[in-house]
Amino acid sequence: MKIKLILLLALVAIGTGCATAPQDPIALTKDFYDEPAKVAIYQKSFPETASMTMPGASCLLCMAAAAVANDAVSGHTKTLSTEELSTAVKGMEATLEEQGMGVEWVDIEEPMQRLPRFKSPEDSDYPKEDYRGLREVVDADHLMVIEFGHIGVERTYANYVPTSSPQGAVTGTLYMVDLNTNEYYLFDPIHVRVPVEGDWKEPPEFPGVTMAYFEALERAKIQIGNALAGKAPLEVAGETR
Amino acid sequence: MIRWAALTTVASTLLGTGCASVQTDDYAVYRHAPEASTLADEPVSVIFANPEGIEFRGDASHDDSVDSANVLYSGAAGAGGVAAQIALHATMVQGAQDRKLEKSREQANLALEPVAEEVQELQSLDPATLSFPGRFSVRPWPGDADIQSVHVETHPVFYVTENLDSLSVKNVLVLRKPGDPPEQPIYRNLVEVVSDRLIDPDSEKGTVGEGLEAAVRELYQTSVLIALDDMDGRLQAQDQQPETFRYDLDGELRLERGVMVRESCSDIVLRNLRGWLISFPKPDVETECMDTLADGSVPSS
Repeated sequence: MKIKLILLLALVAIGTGCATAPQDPIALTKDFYDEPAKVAIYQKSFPETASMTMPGASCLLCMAAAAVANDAVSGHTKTLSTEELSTAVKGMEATLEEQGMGVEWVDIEEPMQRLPRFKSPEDSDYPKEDYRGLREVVDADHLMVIEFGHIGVERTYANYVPTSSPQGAVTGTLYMVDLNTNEYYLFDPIHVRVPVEGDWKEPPEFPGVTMAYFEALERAKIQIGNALAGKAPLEVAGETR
Repeated sequence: MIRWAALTTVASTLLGTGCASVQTDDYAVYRHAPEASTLADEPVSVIFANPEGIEFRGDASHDDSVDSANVLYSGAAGAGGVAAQIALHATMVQGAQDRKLEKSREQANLALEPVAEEVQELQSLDPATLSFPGRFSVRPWPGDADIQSVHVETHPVFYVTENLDSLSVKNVLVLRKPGDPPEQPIYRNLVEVVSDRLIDPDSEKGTVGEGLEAAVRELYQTSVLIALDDMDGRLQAQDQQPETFRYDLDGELRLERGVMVRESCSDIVLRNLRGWLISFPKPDVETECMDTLADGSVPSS
């Protein structure tokens, strides 16, 4: 009995130790563009096609049931283009250049996977990885990283049961690290979800879902633009109508 | 046998839940038969089909997502028992979703409280005063009486934003010919007209009422005129690809996806992916310009 209790306590302790608070958003400071600098941009991931996710349908049978129930809308989602967002991401280069920055796109997939841990001060403005070693690799003062976790449509589940209608969704993160100090200059989590206005069951074209998807893309584009303009993060994400 | 019955129940419940959504009256499936342009002779007979008069609502959220912890289903009662538990879980979640939407609507309707009296008065407004001389005349809903002529049924719902400085209408318009099946009208569409400059929040209370009535009349008339132009085939997209339009309403960013079919000096009309027509204020109003359709011609209304 005592051993069971000790094991339980150990599990709780380990579990608690693993939980970390999410990074708070950080906006670009107003004086960031005052001094010309070299910025390397790395696009960590960008799904080429939109997709539908069903978070919460976690068991195998639940996933299968959710996949069957959403087969038509999921198939339609795969036909939706991500190009509008891709174009906006590419436009980040021009935005930074207009502000006097020297910009270069870099492909640093391998070194990004081997970043050492960073012992940050008691300050949330530092990442947990040490990016300073990349300074020579990318030949820049700052590294801007954009990554998208999901672009498409999302429908939440609790096991077998849907807990929302399909929503247009874009999730990801845009951040910039000073390669001298390893300090975050920008950290902007992208969590855009747009509910469908009115009935969503409109096969085969699903216009309501499609409009929600493209609105999510547009809001993500606006959020990226705002982030580069130094506006506070999360101004445009979330509930819309 | 019982197990199969239970499994069938849960499958149908899940499929039903998977398709569940609250039916709304501000929704229409676009339908446009070619004969619509020849039938809608002007002045068009328009019926104000809301028997309870002019209806106002707050602009509510459509987000029906709810938090629901994953449930551990007990297997003690076998597959049938698990199926029954899933069905019960689905019913509870659906109830929570419906309650969330209902609460959202109730919250949004609080925006109407400052103009409750004016709204009450407007409900009894004579629909005939909504007519647009030369283009259409409006009459009230005739009840169960058969209408022996071609007419346009209108089902408008007016929406106000939180601090009352903008108003919009979503009007479902149906062109009917006597003898045609009710579910297959010649024309059916939803026209939304959004305005950001019709109600002045700084006005005196009485003035707000007057402004509200004028705004209601203008928005309703605009929605019917847009639909009549659509019936005439004057609002066709010219091989344009859909794009997302942005505009600001009451400090809130609004986005609409579609193709522009009309651009006036102050407003844009677009056809969204459902075929609905949406008129909204142009972000930058031009002082000197000429209203045009998507093909470059000048609109009649």
